[in-house]
Amino acid sequence: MVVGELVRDVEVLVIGGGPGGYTAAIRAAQLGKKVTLIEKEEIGGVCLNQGCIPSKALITAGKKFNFLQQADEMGIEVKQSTINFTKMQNWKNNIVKRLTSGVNGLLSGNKVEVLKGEAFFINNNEVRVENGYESDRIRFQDCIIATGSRPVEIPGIPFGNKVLSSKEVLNLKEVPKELIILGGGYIGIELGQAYALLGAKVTILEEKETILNGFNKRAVNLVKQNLHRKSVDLLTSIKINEVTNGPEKVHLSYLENNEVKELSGDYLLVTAGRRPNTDELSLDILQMIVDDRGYIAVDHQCMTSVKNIYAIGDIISGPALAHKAAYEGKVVAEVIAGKPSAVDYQTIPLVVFSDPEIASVGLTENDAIKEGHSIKVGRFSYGANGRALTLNETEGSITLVVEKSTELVLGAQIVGEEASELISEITLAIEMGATIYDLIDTIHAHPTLSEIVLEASEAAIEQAIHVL
Amino acid sequence: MIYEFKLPDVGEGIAEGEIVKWLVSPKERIDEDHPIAEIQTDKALIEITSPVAGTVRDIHYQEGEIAKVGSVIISFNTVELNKSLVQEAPKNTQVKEKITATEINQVPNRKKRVIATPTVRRIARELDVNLLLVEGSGKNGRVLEEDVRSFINKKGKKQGAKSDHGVHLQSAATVETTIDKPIAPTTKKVNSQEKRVPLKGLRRSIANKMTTSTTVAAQSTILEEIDVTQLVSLRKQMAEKAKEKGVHLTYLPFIVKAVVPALKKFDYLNSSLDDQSEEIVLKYDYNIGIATDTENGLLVPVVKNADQKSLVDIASEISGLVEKARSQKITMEEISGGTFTITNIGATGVGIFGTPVINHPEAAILAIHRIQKKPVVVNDQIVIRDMLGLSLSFDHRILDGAMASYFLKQIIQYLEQPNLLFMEMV
Repeated sequence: MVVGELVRDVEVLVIGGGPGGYTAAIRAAQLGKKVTLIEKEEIGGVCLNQGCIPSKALITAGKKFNFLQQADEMGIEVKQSTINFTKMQNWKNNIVKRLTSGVNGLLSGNKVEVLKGEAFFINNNEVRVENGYESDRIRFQDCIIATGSRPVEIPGIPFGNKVLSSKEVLNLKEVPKELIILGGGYIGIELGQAYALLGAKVTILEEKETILNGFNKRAVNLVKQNLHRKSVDLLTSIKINEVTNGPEKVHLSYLENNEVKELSGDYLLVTAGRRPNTDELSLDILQMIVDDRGYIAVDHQCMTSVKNIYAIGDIISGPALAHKAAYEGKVVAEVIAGKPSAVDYQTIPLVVFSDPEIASVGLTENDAIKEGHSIKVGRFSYGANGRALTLNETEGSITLVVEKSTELVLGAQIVGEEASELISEITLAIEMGATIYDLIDTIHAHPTLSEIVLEASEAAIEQAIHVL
Repeated sequence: MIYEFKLPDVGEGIAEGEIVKWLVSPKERIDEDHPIAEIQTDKALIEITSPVAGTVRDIHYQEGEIAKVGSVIISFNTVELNKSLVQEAPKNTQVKEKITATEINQVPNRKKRVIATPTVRRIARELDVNLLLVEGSGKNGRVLEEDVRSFINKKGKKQGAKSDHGVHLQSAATVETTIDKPIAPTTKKVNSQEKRVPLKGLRRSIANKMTTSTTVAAQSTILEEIDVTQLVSLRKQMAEKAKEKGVHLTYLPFIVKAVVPALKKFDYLNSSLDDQSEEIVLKYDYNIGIATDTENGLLVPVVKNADQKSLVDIASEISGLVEKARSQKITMEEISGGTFTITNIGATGVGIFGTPVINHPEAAILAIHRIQKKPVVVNDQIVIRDMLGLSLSFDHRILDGAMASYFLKQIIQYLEQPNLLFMEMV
């Protein structure tokens, strides 16, 4: 305990500098609030430092490398392409550095005070910030908790040595020869595929019957096909028996069809989900309502059961996605500034950077039917799109779900090149309450992949030009 | 649990009320029976209290807005609320790996879809309009920006429409000379030459009723100066006796007593016009409204069945009612049911005559002005007499000038020769 602690007063205190927290801080500052942000590690959070951004760098590198192997078809003859993984990691790290310093610049430009340390609540208006031997007390008027989430450890398979979480696997010194991945969700698939493209022998183990559970079969099958092409072994409906961690290798025994099988590799990546970082904030002192899994209960303005404290992002209900956190961050900042903002979206797009990419927004066919909509479906394939052919990316399709009576666009699933970009048009359509004719009557530039959206729309009324 | 507080029926025939002042703010924790708002109905200012303990979750109307009886004006998070939040939370708390497209679609706020663009939704939030209540004029019921804006205007208009057919509108009597007392001026300064005071509460209520009265009724006013020398000395004598009974006897009870037999004789003056059925409703209750200036504006407490009450009773009743009106303790009952209104503006010391505005939907209103000593001609002699100005406004739709004159003449007779009043005694 430090004698004579200084209590500092701030208007808005943001705990956590990830995409939710820094967005909230900047917006609050834009609206005239005096903001202090506390981050225990690096500004940018998991997204910038250990997640979205670095993983996309490696995935892109993997795809580019893979392209070179197949460029011959286009007349590009590459004698020999090799990987300098150290260089690749430097490139990736520079991207991260550039983005985090950019965010730091934005924060200081908006006069947001950034403090390093870990925050604990003392009462409804104060936190203690600990940083090494130093400890500060900060009294706030409003507080935004944006502490994010961390990878879940599977009991009996603690992280360390050869057992990696999604964070460590991005920072390997070299491409592993044999990488085993436990968990066929989207993080496992993205990272597994990236390393496979970079030359690793990848095995993906999934306890469920299928990988990418919840995504439509059409999309999953295309991803499986590409995994197969890269000799990735997919083992589904398995059960892990035992993991021996190190010293040189990691050994696994698992059950497949009631048979005990063995597997070993350089590393085991465990992607078993994420858990909210709400356990080390002393929320119990506030008697804040938190469910048994650590998620904080909030209302439509992200206000917690403690009236001047808000929570956003991975620590409240809904998908743990950076874009959801950033949206909520803006809402909360505006609410604190006295604006009538509220969490008011129709849908959140979801993107998987697999090969090919998968993106989904709104209702799938099955969901729409389950919700009682009478629907029609428009589908168009990449193979009939000129730009897809010139990109040499002919696999994939766009499926549009449309309500029959109102012709409103209810949802879309895209699998194929740049699905992650194409999904935005349909997200906007859903938010706008657009009908299929709004898409049809909008001119889409030629030759682009976006014409697939147009043709899928026309296919929904059976008038696609490039379909017989 | 979320407790939604609906505007209760606070009195007879009240369909809506204006939220004059919130006594709580969002996020505030309150106990049961904590005062939450002041509501101005057509008739009175009422303080309502909370039936539950909890945290203010949402205030659905802004100060100055009109709320219908039965509409949710405020909601609270009661203690159990938070449990329901927790129960909901786990449903969506899928860990990241397992998020599926299906789950993403189950984000909050998708329960009932209102087709509206994000811009329109934002405007609705800014205007505090619940989109679920707005009827969309676009295809498939799409709510357009103009639908949201006209939804707000409609809310405002209804207030006026209601006044057209109201039966017990009591606070509308005044004369042009009434001094306005602006209520709670806000500090929104437009420039150094003017100040903007929001029209709210009783002031707004009065404004609406005055507009209705002057636009609906065909108002005409008769002015006459009368000799009340006898009344002055009579009151002086009687006041001393009344004082022994603890009653302050003013001229007003004499006026009431003079008006009642005149109303009995000319029943069209004690009537109202039912615009809808196109009928003149003649009334045989003699409930005399007394226009009373209060800090917040004009109120009209009613002396019920004035024909059955003695002069002293009326005197003490009037002073009781006026006191209550001024201290804002008057009840709905006490300002309802009037059939004819008297407004006494003599006390201001200004104005020989006026053109009082009828307390709609009554048929007439009588203003009495100050008594002044004046030289008048009596039997070709100039003598000093106590003179009183009377102004009678009547609804020309219901009766004509001749009847109004005869009615006024009857009153004058009683006031100039107050001994005649004894003949009317019950």
